[in-house]
Amino acid sequence: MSTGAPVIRFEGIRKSFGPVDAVAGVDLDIAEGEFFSLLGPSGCGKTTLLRMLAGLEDPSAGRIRIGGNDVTDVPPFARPVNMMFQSYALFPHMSVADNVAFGLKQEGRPSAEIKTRVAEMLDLVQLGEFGKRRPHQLSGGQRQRVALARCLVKHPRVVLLDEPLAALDRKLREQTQFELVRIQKQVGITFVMVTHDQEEAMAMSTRIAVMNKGRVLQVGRPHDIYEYPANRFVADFIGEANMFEGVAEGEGLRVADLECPLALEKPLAAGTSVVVMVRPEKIAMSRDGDGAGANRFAGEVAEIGYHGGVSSYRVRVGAERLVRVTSANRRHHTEPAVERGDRVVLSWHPANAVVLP
Amino acid sequence: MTRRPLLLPVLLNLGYAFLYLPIAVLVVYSFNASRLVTVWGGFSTKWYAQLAHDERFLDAAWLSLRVAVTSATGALVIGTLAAVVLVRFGAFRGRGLFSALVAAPLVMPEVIMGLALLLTFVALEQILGWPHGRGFLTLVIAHVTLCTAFVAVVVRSRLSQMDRSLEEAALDLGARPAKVFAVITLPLIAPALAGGWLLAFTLSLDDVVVSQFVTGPGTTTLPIEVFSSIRLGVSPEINALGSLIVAAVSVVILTASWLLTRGEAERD
Repeated sequence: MSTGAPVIRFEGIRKSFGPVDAVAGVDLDIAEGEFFSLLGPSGCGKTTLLRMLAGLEDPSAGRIRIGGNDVTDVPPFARPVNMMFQSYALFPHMSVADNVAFGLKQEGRPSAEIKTRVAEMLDLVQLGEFGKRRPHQLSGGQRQRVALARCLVKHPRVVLLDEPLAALDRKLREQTQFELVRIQKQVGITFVMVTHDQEEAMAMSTRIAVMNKGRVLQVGRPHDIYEYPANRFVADFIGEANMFEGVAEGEGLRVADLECPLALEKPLAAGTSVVVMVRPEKIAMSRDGDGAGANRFAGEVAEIGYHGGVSSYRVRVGAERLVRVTSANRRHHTEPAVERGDRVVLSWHPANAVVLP
Repeated sequence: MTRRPLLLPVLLNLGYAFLYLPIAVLVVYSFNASRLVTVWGGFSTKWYAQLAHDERFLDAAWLSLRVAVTSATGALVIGTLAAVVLVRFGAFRGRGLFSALVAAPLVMPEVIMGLALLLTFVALEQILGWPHGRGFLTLVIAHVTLCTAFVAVVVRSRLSQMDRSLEEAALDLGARPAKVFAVITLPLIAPALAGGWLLAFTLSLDDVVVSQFVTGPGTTTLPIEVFSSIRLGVSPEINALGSLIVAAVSVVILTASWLLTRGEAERD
């Protein structure tokens, strides 16, 4: 977790490519033993930040510390970090064992030590018998594990993962998520992962930094980021969100296209304009009950998406607004509980809504 | 069986004939027993035997071989360096000009190149006293100039297709840049290096135009020797020599293209 001394510290890191700021001032601490994710849409600067940590890009301004030492001017081959590339970057002209041994050979280790450490590492990633193969003779999942072994074998302070699961198919990706977390716990090395896949980041990380346009917008545990997003971008990027933009009035919030005001947990100063965000699964939907009162809205089911375990609904409230609702399909229905065109009533407890500036 | 169009195979064979009939004629007549080139006098290998004892041709062939090996190697080194700079050093000042200048000899008329080189050598000799006279050294320098562009083009295309992250991964794993180049980059572009070398070798081996300008008395390359002996009347010995050259060049070209395509296939 976020206790302990930071193993990585970014201080005012900036990176410009010509007139474009890929990273526009990042201050960030990552603690020892964390599984930390940099999450954001493509072009948000997360990969550039990772590459600066590896030494493959030089920051235009700011300092980077690893384990307390300033490594900003240290070349990549002398940094105590190892990176797993998105393409895995396995050397095609070397066997799997030689790929894993490559880093140790550069350190000038005795060959007996190299041999045992490579064997240990291949066992850890369950590829003990594949040492003599060439990378092109392996499946995608096996290549990914070789790349991981090649990073871990040098016992770096930090392992950097650039979209580690992007090249795998869906089923394998889920399996590998758990596998990566297991290995990270076992070796106890800090992992920093770059991903654009929010579910992946949520499932694997101890903490996440959500980035957009070169800035870090929020840092926190997956739970914090999902339940208490700090701003509209994070709320919208992570999971699904219903946003109600309005002006505080009395005890509640007046929203332009809703008949009744939204109830708020804590009243705001009158006239403040804010956005209230409600996650789709926090909204209760029922076919009976009246559509009057605070936080109760009558609507009509416009669309249903059946996903097996859960169903997602879009409910038309008022003339324009579609409210997203998801609910678990708990019972063994033969008939769906709600059908398209049904009149329903939506409601949620004010405590389940988040007020965003 | 479906009726196959008759025209296509006919056209194909006409095309082949157009390209290769002259070479076939040359090879066939190299086995001609008659001294008259155009009259068939029965099968014989005597011209090959005679060729094997012809000091003039053998000396010329040996010289051509040495020039070709030396200049192909020189062109490989310079061409590879140029390619690495173009692909890996980012957008430095004058990159566009450099790229154009490296490739220019590909389209430069050989006559002009030969003349320009000759003038340069003469001027250098007058000012610096080097290179002294014209011979092996000037031939090699001229051929390196000619072949570097071809090597650069071949190596450049291979380098730019290579996954950059392979080199970054080696760097990240603790290898210094020079080591990365030696143990990662070079092995991965080896097929292109071999192909580029063979291309340069062939170009140098059969060059006449540039060589004519920059060679001196006593250093006659094989193509020049062939050229001058034809002027004195065609001997069937030339046919034998021609056939051998065709065979050698075919082997080299086939090896070069095989190396290049094999490299492509291995890379996925």
